Amino acid sequence: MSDPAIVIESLRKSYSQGWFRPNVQAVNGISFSIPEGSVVGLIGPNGAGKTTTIFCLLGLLLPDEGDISIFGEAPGSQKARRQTGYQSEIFHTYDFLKPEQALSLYGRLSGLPAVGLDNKIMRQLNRLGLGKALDQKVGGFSKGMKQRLGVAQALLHEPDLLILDEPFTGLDPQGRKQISEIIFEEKEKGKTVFFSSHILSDIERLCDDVIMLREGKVVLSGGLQNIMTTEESWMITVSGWKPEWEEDFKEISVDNVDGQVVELECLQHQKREVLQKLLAKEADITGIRKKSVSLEQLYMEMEEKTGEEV
Amino acid sequence: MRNVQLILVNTIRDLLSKKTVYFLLFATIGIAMLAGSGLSTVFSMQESTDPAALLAQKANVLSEILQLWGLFTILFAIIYSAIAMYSEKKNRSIVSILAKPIARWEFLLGKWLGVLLFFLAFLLIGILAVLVFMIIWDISFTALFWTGIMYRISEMVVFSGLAFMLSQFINMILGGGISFVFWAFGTQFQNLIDSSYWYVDWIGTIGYYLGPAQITDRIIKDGILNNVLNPDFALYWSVIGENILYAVVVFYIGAVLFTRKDIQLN
Repeated sequence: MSDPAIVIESLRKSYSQGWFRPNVQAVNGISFSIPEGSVVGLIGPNGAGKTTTIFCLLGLLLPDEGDISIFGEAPGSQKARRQTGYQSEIFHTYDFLKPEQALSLYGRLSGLPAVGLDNKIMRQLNRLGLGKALDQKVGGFSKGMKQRLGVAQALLHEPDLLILDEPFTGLDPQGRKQISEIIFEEKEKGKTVFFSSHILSDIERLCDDVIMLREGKVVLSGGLQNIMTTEESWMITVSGWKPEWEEDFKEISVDNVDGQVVELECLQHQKREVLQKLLAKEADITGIRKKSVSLEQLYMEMEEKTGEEV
Repeated sequence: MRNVQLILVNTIRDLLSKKTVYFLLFATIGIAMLAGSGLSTVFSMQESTDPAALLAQKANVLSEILQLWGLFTILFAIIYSAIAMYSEKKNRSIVSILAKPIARWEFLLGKWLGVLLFFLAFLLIGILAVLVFMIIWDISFTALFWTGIMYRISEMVVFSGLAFMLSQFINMILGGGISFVFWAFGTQFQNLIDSSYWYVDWIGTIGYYLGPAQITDRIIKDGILNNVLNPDFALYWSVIGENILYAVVVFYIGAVLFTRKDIQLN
C-alpha cells in the first residue's frame, strides 16, 4: 500500500453570508485519503463542496475544523504547493499575456529556473495543442483553449500531485481526449491525480477511486470497481436457452438478450443452485459476472437516497 | 524577492494593458493646458521686469504644475491601489497565482509595488519636466525644494498603501474612499476636535490620530522661491519618515491578517 498523497480528516468549512444570517456549511466533516500514484475522481452536484474541498487543499481557504496533509505537509505550505499542480474550474489568467508569457510567469512562480524554461513551456504547449496559438493573447482564447492552458501551467513544474477542478469543462471531444490521455500519462509516471468532474463517464474511464460529495458530506467513496459491482447480484449468460426451462428459474429474473441468449440475474446465495440447474440441463453458459451498475446509475440512486434523508 | 519582482512586473504590464496610460495622458494634456497660460505669462514678461516678480511668477507656475501633477498621480495611485486586488479576485487570476509556492505577503508586496512604481514613474516625469524648466530659468535646486519632492513621494507611498491594504478587508470603494479622505481632508481633522457635537469630535480625534501626518506648508513653492530663512527641516523630514513608517506598518499588519484570511472570490 503506497503512502497517501492527500489525507483529509473531519474537515469542516462554513461560509459567512453576512451579518444576521446563518453560516452556510459547505463541507461538513469529510474524511478521505488518496493513495500516491492513483487517479481519484470527486463527484457531486453543484454546491456539494467540491471546490471548497479543493480550495482547502490548496490553502486558499482555512478549515474551521479538521486536518489536511499533502505528502505529509500542511496545506498551503510552500513545500506542499511546490509538489502540487492546480488547474481551476475555468482557468482565469491575465488576458494581456501570450501563452508563453503566461506559462513563464507560472513556471517562475513554481520555482523553475529561467534556464531551460522555454523548452519546458513549448513542450507543454505542444502537448496540449496550443503550439499554433503562440502569437495570440490569452484574452482572445476560447474557453477550451484557456482550459488547456490551465492544464499546461499545472503540469509545467512536473508536480507529484495534480489537482484539476472540472478539467473537461468547455472542451470539445478532441480536447477531452487530450486531457484524458494526459491523466493516463501522469498516472503512468506515478503521479497522483485528483480531479472533480460532472462528466461521470470520464470518471468511470479514468479513475481508480471515486469520492462522491453531497451537501458537504462524503456519501460514497472507494475503488471504482468495487463501487460499480454490487456484491449481491450475479449475471449468468446462457446461449441456446429453451423457453420450457423458464419454469425452473421462476425465482430469479430472466432477461432475453438476443433470441436464444438470455441473462439470468441471481443473488449470491442462489448462484450455486442456478448453476447446478443449468449444468444439469447441459445449458451453454457463456458468461458469469458480478452485476455492475454504471456510475451514473449509482450517482442517481445516491442522489435519490440522500435526497430523501435530507 | 524573485516572486515579488515577477508579480510587480506583471502588475505594471497589467496597468499598461488596461490603457491606464491613456487616462494619464489626458491628465497630462489637461495639466499642460492649465500650465500653458502661466508659462505664456512668464515668457511674455519683459527682461526688464523686476527679477523678484519674475521669479515669483516662475515659482508659481512650476509649483502649480507640480501640485496638479501630484494631485492627479496620487489620486490615480489611490484608485488603482484600491482596485488592484479587487480585479485579481474578480478575474479569479489570484487563485492560480496563490496555488503556486508564493507567500501571500510576496503577492501583496508585488501588487502594491507594481501600482506604486507605475504611478511613481509618472510623478517623476512631472518632476523632471519642472527640473528642466528650473535649469532653463536658472533657478537653483534648494534643499527645501528636494524636501518638498520627497514629501510628495512619501504621500503617494502612504496613501496608496493605505488604500491597497484597506481594500483587502473592506469594500474597495470604502477602502479607497477612506484613504482619499485622509489625503484630501487630513489637515482638517484637527479642526474638528473639541467640537460641541460629540460625533464630530470623535471623527476629528480618530482622523487626526489614525491618519498619516501631513504638511500644510507649500514647501515646493518655498523651495523654488528660496524665501524661507529657517525652514523646519526637522519637522518636514520627521513627517516624511513617519509616512514611510506608517506605510510599512500598515503593510505589515495587512499582510499578517491577509495570510490568516480565506481567499474569497468576488
